[in-house]
Amino acid sequence: MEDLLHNLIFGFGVALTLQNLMYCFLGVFLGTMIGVLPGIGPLATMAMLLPLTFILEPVSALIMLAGIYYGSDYGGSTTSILVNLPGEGSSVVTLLDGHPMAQQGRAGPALAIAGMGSFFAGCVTTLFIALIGPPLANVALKFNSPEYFSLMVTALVCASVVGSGSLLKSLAMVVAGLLVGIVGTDVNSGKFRFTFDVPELTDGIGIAVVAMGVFGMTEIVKNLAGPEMTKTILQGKIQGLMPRWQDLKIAFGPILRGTSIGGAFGPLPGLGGTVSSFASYMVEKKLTKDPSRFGKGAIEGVAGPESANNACAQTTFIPMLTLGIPGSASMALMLGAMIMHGITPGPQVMTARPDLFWGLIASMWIGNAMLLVLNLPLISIWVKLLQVPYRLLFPIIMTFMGIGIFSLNTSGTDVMIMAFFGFSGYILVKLGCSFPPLILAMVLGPLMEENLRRSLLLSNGDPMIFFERPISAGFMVATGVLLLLFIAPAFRKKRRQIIVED
Amino acid sequence: MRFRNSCCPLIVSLLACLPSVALAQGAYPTRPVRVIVPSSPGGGTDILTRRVIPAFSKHLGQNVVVDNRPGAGSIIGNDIVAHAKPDGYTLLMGISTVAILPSTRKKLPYDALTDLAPITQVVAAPNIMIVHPSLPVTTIRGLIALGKKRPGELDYASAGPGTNPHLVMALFLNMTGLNMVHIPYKGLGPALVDLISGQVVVASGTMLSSLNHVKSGRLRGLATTGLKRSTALPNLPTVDEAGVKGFDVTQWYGLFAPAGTSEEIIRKVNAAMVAALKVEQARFAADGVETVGNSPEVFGNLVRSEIGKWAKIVRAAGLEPR
Repeated sequence: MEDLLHNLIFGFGVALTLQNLMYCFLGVFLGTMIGVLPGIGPLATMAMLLPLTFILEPVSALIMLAGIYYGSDYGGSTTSILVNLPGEGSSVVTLLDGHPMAQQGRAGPALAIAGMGSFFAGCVTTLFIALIGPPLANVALKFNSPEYFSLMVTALVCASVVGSGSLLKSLAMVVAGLLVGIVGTDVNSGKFRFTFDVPELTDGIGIAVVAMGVFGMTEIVKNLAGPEMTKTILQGKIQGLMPRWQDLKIAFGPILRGTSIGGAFGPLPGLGGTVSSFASYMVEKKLTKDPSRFGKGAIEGVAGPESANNACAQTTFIPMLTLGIPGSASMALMLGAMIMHGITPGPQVMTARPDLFWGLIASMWIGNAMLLVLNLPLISIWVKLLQVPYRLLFPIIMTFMGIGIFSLNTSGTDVMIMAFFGFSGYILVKLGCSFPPLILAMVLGPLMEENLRRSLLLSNGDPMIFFERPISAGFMVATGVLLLLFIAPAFRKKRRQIIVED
Repeated sequence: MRFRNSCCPLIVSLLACLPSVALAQGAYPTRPVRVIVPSSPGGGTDILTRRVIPAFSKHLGQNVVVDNRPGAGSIIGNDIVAHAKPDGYTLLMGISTVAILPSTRKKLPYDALTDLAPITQVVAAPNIMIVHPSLPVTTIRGLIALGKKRPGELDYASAGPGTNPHLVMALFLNMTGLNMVHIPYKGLGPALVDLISGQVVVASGTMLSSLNHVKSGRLRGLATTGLKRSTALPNLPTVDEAGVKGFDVTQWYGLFAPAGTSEEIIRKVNAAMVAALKVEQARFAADGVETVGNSPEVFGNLVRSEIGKWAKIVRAAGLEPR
């Protein structure tokens, strides 16, 4: 414990120099701006600034790059809440309840709770990383294909609560999501699926493209297609910029739970903010007394997922810092930056370059504080945006969407795909379907398939591999229990019916 | 008479303007040059390119911008440059995949030999044959012996069918007569994660991604795949030395321009890159990457021979072009 305190103080000593503070601020500021702009993400920004980091000290370079990475999560929630536009996959869930809140005039509380939740998650996970980072990384290594598959089966069972509306339509959306996820190249055989000889489709359809289409564009089409065009996004009066005490009380539980979920998913390579925020949303919807409030502006639906995705963003650093294993492309880039500065990533970084390790951890806390201070005053400006007449606002939104999606891969095909999903999305909305199951299936489906097939390859076709490995078996048992829990009430209802009829 | 007098100066002055159009074509480069990287930011190619760009920019005398065009295993990026205007303002940082693709794909939207003009080979690095430390082998001979004792039981990881790690391993298995199970992943990153945790036990990793793990001991390196030993791992023999005669595979990156770019521009770019590479040589060597910087002709010959070599390897691996 004393060691930890000593290390943290040392870390703060490194992070609180004027130079590092400056670069931390630059990083989080850029990150927020990038997060607000749809499309262009932290990865491209980090890559563009990489040459700048050559002339910097390694610590300053990493602090700045890290700031860009977790800063973008703060910005992403802004557009989700205000204009139903998810900047990344991880902001998708926020708009489900965040945008209705904005429409009801409660954008201020939504943005504030999102910021506070993210800040809380950031602080807790920083401590988390300091305390149990290295052993946690080793546990994360034990997560291989069978564990991933079993985890996703559990997640899928819980996913039944994500959709609103008829069960049949939710299932249809799940199937649609799976079909969209199939497009691309098969991992094992290298064969193309549904690419229609279009090279841009061989890597699959990106989630940001689909999410922006079905949420962002469909929302615009919906607003324009009504009997009369929506006047402004705001449907009522602005009800205060800051959350009420009651809001904070309701949000506290979700923030805690979201942080734990995000913190658990983060170190696992391959799973990202999208899965954690969805998981948090599902947990909150299951735990609340009145699940019908979700989708109409329930503050838990914003607080939980936002904390989850910030916690996930920070704990993603654990395998990279402690073992030198990148869990995602952004981490791989940071690893590259470290290697370029002559630092060999791995467990020895903690002892050979403690200033780097602890300085970076301390800077995460500082960065989160900066982000809170940056974002809270901006809320009043963002809220004013909602009062701009819609006929002026929607062309601007569409332009940003187009530029944003184009900037992802410098690909016009992506923009056309987004347009396709925008129009189909409108048709689906008119038919009474909701999109979260589609997005979830798009993300989980390919991952499940890949991990299932790989697990069976490794076990030479033996399906017992999922039950022989302890962690995987645990998830399978949990799935069974959950299924029983879900079916049992239906059973009891049926039995009561039969008894009454008697 | 008066009319002609007033027209003459006008016509003469107009004619005098014409040469200025030729002057405007000035000395290349007169505006920023962009280098297309056919993979996403953060990957090996991207980081390597960004490392060499500042020095390259300085020697070229103009700003050089990196433009990431990922997709279809580098086909999209290659295609863009193959069909770009040959004015020297669009260049390609090509991966050695450019020599593999003609054998693994039935239809390519460009032809690597006729649509791309080689400028210089930038860097070259061999792969490392790596195993998980739990495997009781320390040499290639040991691996071959183990493989023969347990056919079809050892699992090897790759970055996906048709990728460099896969094909190098396939060549190794073909030349040694071994039988191992191929476990493909979506890229070398996830493959290495599973290799480190011991899910799979063998792989042929690229120098850029694997050196770090071999140096730290998390993975055991058995040999490097080039003809000469790697300067970063001088204690490791080459696969050729270790018993598989004639085994020689290297991964390289090279600068290309669209075919039809003028000789003069190619020489200028070549000179700038060669100079930049001299500056970065030491830093690259520390990462096991050898800077090359040869002439366009030598590089062109290399590309041609590589295409032929990989065609044979792909056939030997039994991969169907798709």
